[in-house]
Amino acid sequence: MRSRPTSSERRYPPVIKVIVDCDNTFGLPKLPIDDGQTIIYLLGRPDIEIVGITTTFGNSGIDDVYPATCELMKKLGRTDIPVLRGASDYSTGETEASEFLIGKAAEFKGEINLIAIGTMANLKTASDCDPDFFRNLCQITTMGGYFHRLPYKGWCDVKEVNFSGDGGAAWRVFRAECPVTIMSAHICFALPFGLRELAPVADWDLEQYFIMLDLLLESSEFLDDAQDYLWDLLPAVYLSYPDLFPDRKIRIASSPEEIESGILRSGDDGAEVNVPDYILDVEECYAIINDAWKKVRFIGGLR
Amino acid sequence: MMKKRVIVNYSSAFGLPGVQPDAGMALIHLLESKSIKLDAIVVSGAGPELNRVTAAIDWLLKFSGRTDLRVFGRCSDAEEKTADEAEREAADLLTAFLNESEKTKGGKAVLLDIGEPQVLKLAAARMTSLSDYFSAIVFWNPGSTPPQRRGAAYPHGSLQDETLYSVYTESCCPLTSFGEEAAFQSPLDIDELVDIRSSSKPLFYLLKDYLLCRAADANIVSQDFLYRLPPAVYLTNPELFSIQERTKNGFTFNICPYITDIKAYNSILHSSWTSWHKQEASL
Repeated sequence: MRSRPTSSERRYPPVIKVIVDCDNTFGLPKLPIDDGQTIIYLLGRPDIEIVGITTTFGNSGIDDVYPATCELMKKLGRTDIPVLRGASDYSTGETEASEFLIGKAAEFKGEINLIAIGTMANLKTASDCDPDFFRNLCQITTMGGYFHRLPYKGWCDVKEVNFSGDGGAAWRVFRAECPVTIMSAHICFALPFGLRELAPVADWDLEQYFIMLDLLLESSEFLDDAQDYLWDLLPAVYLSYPDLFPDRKIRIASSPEEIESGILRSGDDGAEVNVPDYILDVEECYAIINDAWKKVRFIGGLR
Repeated sequence: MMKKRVIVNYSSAFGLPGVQPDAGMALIHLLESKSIKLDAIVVSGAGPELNRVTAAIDWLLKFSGRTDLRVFGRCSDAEEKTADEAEREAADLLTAFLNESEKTKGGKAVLLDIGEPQVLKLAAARMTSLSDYFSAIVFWNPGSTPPQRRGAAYPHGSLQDETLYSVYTESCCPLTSFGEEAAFQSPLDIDELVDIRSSSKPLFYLLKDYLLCRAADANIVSQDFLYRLPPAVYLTNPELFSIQERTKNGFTFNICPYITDIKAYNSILHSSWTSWHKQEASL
């Protein structure tokens, strides 16, 4: 496990190569913003290099996710980072996204950190096509699943998206031949994102502030709260600050069918993964995220 | 129904943290009112504040599905212009718009002035008589009586800008001035939030956040007053206001000391807020 960067490392940060596999819907009405917030965070990190972004269905269909991600990168002035179109459902098979994943994992053997924050369909296809795919990765950090019903206002009956979209693919990813860290829904409740958390953004980027405000207020109509959580941010923060999330190695024994209902079940016969269950310092986590967001600017906003 | 045409002078960064919500709520009321046609919005804001105000008005109009509205004062290229330059450009455009509008639209619009004076003053200097372009002027005139309510924290205890005030008082169109008195009948506190929640959830959460921020500040109380709302409601429902004629320095104008039916006033506001943000946003 990598320790938290020292001050000298922060001045000369080691580059962490990242591919983001996501179901980003940032900028689309009434759809989650956390994938986009994750991308913005990663772009603001001096120690992160985004090698590419692969897209998959999940928060919405691929016909929404792919153009929304291209548009986001355009508005962030980062069209130099490739965005690849991936699976439209669990049976899609090979796509430019899965080819990209295989190619980059092989090219940078042992260096690619895969942040998987959409459905796992692209990853499974990549591993079906190249048995060495998972072995070639440095690690996978992902978000999804819950071990019991979520006891939070507005979220008790919310359907899990990332793992449940393709239970068979998630089942395979849990058994990947590289370290796998899962941020379950439970740990994400430590990082709410509402108007209070949004307020500091107004100090450095009004465009970014109003885009996020828009989406928070829109969500208030159907979530009954102008608050969301920084779900998909956690696997990204983990890459630079793993010791903010104390390791908890467990075996996940859920069947693909159980995973499709969003449920993670531990059991001795399961695949060993790291599932941290708390954040050591929540305020520091917000400071880290804000510090990265501060460095990123929208070009003309999402309008 | 013939709609009343209105031009609003506006300076609020409503939507940003800690910003007093009254002007934003007034604008939402007009945007959603079936009896009003907004011709344009004039935006002023002192110095760097202009960037915040223009970003906020852009957001508010987008969130309201009204990006079609003319806004004078928005920097055409904010990075390249100072606030002064942007305001001069806005005054030029507004002058041309008023001249053109008089020729093409037949009839004059009402001016609702609930904002800072910069752009209107510059426009007034470019015209023989700015007030001749309006059928009536309704304006927010703070400090006409000293605030005497607990929590009445309106910071500018002064009269409307003197130059503009003299433009208004020399006007031959009806002039109606609103001070704090009517607003004191319509406070904003936790109790009011309950009703607002059932009319507009986005507005509810914005106001809740605003009040909680006020409550967290030891120097002020959580209650506020929606100062700039009464002049906006007066445009849609003048029958709800007591209007008294006053003469000062030889000029006659109206003042509004109180709202006659506060229940009807609140009901009208909740009804207009209910229809706010029913449009779909898009990339």
